[in-house]
Amino acid sequence: MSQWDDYRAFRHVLRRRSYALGAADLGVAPATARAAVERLAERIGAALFLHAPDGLAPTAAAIELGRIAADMADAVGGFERMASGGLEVVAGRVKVAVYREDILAHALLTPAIGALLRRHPALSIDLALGLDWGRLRARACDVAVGVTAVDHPGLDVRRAARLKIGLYGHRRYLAEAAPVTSAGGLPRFAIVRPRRATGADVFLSALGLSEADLEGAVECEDRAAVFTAIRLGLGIGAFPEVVALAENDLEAVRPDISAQIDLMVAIRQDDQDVRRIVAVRDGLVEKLTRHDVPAVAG
Amino acid sequence: MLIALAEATELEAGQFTALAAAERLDTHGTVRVTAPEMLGHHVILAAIGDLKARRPDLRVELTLQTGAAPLIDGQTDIALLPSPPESGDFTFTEIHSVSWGFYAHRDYLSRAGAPQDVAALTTHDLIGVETPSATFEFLSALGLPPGAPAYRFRSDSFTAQFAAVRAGLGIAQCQNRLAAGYPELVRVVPEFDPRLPAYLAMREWLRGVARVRLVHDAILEAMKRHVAQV
Repeated sequence: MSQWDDYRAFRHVLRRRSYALGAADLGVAPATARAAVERLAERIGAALFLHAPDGLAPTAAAIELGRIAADMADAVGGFERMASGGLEVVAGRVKVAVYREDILAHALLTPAIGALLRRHPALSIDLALGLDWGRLRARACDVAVGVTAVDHPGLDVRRAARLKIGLYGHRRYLAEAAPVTSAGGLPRFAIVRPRRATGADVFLSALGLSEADLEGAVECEDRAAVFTAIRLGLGIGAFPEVVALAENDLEAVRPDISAQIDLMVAIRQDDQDVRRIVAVRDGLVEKLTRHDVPAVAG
Repeated sequence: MLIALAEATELEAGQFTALAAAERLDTHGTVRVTAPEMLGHHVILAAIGDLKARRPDLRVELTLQTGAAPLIDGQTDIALLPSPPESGDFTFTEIHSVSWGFYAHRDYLSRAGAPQDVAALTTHDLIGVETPSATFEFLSALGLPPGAPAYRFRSDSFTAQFAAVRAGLGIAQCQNRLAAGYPELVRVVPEFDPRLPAYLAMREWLRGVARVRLVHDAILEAMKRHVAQV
């Protein structure tokens, strides 16, 4: 195995916390993956994994090395995508990432990506969920989409749409729950929300609601799952109107509790000459703009 | 002095035992569940919903993992896995296999035609994963590894893949039971019929804790119904 193969084996073992599972993902024998990790440990002069009841526990050295290996993998992925087509044609592979708001990916981005693939038959797209804007600069992706404010030097950021955010619940759930007469009355509802460990729910925050004041019924960091839970009538949650009202059984809890939030699309300024990346950015902005709502003062 | 200390220690030990016993019987509190995202969305959330209607004070923290394999950590009480847990801290039940197939939206098929056999898949727009995984190594055996050019849309999120097949982007592998809920999806190359096992694992020392047992049993029943319906 080359040194690069050792790094790859290390990354997969770290991801799966197991020699056997990491090796299986790579299609090599567990002993091969283990030997690669041991060679790496010998080179850096530090143990990388300890045996723990739940599998392999990475040492501090492994966690640090894992960050570097992730950056290397991003750079290699970026190189491979860049080499997948010419600069002057819309052909090859482009990677789009959505920052945390995975429900926007499924509901809004996927149809827009479909239109792009039909328009450009030699284009392929990878979609990653959960990357942050900073990783765009590190070439973990080529186009980033999200609703959080972004002010990174070196990025070309465009507003694609202004989305209306509201609180929604299933008709059946709302019929059975007590009426909400004020925002202060919301805790009586079971709020289905992302787990606090993943940071503030940007949609709830936009409504000026504090997660700490709300009672969680089901907590899940996957916002698409939170949306599924609301569709199942487990509680209420904050989502863009365009996503919520596409479901016939959902309705606004209190139409007057609403906010607006900008959906942004960014690429690296360095990639302004790469036609396929610009084409994907422009195609997404064009489609997402259809969801734009008029600005409300204040 | 020593007698008083011994009596206090005995009292505290008794209180601890009583508290622990109460904790084991109490259905209030939080249960932490880890599962693959698609089964989380389509099976586990519904099971939790039914359970919460009967036990409103129960709280569930659900961690859904993109990619093929959920990761168990020190916080996991219950996990739905594609292979038996490696950790001896878990007891597990094998659930009858989950069946998969290739599906496409009928709009895609009217545009591109249906592949006549597995070999013809390489001439279609495929939807697949970006990161290689042992769980789906059978795709490599079909000449369709994650890096194959036929994959025009790749995501490690199966929810994203499912959204893509429903949006007519191409052909994707999908659990038969889940696809059955969407009449616009059509199964292609039905001779491709892999069955993947599933295992429901519970931390051994939590077996007697009522709330964990409740959630475990609700998920187990829901999974059994899920695989039986195909």
